[in-house]
Amino acid sequence: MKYKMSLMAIMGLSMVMCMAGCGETNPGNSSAYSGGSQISSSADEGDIVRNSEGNVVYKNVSLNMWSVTTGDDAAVQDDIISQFNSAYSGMINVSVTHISRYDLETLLNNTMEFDKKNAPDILFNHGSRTAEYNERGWLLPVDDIFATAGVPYDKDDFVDSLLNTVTIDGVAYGMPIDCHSAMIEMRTDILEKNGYKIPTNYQELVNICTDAAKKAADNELWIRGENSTGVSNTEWRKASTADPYYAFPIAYGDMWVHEFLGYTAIEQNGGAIVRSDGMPAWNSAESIKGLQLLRDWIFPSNTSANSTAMSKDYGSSYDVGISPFRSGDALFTLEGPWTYESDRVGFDKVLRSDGGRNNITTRSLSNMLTLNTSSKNSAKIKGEGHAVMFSSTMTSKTKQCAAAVLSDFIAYNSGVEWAKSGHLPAVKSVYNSSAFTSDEAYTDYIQYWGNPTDYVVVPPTKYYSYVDTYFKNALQKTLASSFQSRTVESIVNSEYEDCLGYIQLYS
Amino acid sequence: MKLKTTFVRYVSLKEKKKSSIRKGGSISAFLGPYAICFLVFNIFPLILGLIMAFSGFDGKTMMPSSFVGWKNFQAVFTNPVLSRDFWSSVWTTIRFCLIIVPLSIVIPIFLAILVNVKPFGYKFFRACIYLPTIFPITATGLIILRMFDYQYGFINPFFNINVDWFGEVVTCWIIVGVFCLWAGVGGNFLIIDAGLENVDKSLYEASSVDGCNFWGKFIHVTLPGIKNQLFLCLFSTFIGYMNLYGQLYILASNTPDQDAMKSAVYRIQDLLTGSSKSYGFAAAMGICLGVIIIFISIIQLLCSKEKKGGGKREKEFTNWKKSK
Repeated sequence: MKYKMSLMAIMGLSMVMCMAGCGETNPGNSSAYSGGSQISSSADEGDIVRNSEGNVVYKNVSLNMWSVTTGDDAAVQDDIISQFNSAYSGMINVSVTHISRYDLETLLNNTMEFDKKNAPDILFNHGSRTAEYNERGWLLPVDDIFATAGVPYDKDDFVDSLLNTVTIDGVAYGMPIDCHSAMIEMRTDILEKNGYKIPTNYQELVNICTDAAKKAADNELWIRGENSTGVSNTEWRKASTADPYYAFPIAYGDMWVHEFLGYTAIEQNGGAIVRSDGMPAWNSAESIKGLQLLRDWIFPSNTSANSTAMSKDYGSSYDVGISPFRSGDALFTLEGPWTYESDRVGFDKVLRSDGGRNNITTRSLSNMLTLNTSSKNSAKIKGEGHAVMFSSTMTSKTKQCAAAVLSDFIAYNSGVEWAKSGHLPAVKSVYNSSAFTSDEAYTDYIQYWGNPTDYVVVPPTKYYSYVDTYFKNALQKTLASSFQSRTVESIVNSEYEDCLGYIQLYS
Repeated sequence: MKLKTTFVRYVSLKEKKKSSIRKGGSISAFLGPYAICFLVFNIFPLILGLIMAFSGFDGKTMMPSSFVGWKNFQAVFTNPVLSRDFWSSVWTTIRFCLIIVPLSIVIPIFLAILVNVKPFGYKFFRACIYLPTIFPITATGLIILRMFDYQYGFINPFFNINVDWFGEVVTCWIIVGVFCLWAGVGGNFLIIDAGLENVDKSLYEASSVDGCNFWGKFIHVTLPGIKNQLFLCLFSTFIGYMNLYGQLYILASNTPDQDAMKSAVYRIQDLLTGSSKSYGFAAAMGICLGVIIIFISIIQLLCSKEKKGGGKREKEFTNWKKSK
């Protein structure tokens, strides 16, 4: 009996310890961390020490930043942060943890809930997450922090759309840093050899794709590239007549398509992604028109601008353009701008005896997904932007001020090095500065990615996950051969209804 | 003066007390770590899940913020989108189980019998059959994804076919099934193989004497001999595949008809990606799924329960005796 009692006691004790442990890390007073409550007034200086000139004194302030960047981007960002650490040596030191976008959400959820002591001070993440994070009480409003730190936050100097993603009810919850989207890579050597100019809009793109397909069928299309058996990379050959020539491969399984191409098609045709109240808006007639254009790209109809398919039906495959682009079996491909520099290096190798990197060029998606190039939306590009956000767990006022200094540094000093990785600056004065526009990389390719003011980022909505998931479903079904019997309108409406159903469930 | 206790009794009691403490201490030391893990990782989540199923969430914290009674369960049964998506995914999962569970038992039996013959190099084959089980499904799933890719996989050109394996619902489920079998039969194979080792060999000899052929031996000797192992495999496999998630997440994320590719756990997992406002529904769905699994397991248990035929046999024997 005593054994049983002692066993019961052990089990009970461990249960209580377990509960108590969880309780300790979750004070249950989430309002204490909810946005806005930390900064009571500018008079509340907390642990801030000021010098005789009234400036905040930073002495060995350590900041922990979680960044969504990985790979080459992470390396570039590490360089920028080490520049900051050198500039502020002995004052502020920033350590960065790079976490993939796929792991960040889960890790952040668990840390902010159960392990706040190890939560990041600063988040470098996509600005479109701001509304959801703020809903959970993870973010601090930053306007007062910048004012306290004496760091100017000139909102007129930031691209409106990007600033809007971090602004909720007129209050800023972060500082936008950059924007990026997918871009089009083009084989200038093949275009030139066949007498085509670089397309500047959708109609020109369609004309080239249609003509190239016709020429290939007539055994008149010149191509060159790797993977040609018995023919060197630089040697010109006629495109095969055995299969149709698809100049611009896309597929619904491709990330570029469902992350950027679909949304851009909506925007350029006059539709919108999100309404002003945060609800999804991609069910409009304009949006359906944009999606129909993408369907016609692969499955042309009697009413479409293209009479022949511009892309083969690649089904669920992904990265479908890379191989045909290199082999000359495609003239265009979609890519992330951060890969462009390495692609240029790749062409330096395969076509080194004949122009190397000069055989490719890049263009943004502006005007490439609408027939109406005179509309005010035709230049719009759906983009994604990084922003620096301050974690609500950062209670030290000095740290908050240091974070403001860091944000300002990243926004104004990332410049062309960060842009080479595919990220255009969110600060207008940086983009327009002579230091930026006179850089060789800018004249070579960055200028072709469009002006940041053309980038449209999803406006703040706490329903972002649902808006994005159900739009992706609608887009994939629109482009899938198994759903060709259904109209785009019926697909969009049915996914939209489901999206609304879930949003209303939680409202 | 009368002593309250004798010296011997006192020493005995003292020793008994010491012994109890020692025994209690050693039991606690051995059982403690497991007990703590069991409480933290089994009992606590179970209780928390139950609490969550009856709670509302404010979206700010992962912990419950209010008591909502049966409201979450009501939504699981009556909300148009939630009930449709959840129950269709439960039915999809059950249909998948109806196919995959029998295969996950039959194939290992077949392989175990072959290995049990102990051909040359049987240990190597045994290791090969079990090997896929130890690989993480994320790694092997990505390899499968690349192998069967519509455009750049090598399966289509090798067989000179043109199938978008992950684009169509039926073919995608076939690949998921093949992947599950490839990665999952090893565990059952090992259990059944061990069971076969323990089947009394004299029973095979006796059945041979009685004129039993291979099939007769399999039905009347082998299967009853590994009955316990088969039940273990049956239940664990069924419960495992009712919780199907990882394989679908890796292989079916790009299938356009997502509704047809979602298992019950996948649906629940979907609710955990956004705000915590959906956690109550997810917990209620989890409990509903748990109840369904328990219910089907009980049916399985009842169906597989050994029929007590003692009285019937006795009667038959008596009748036979009388007839003599």
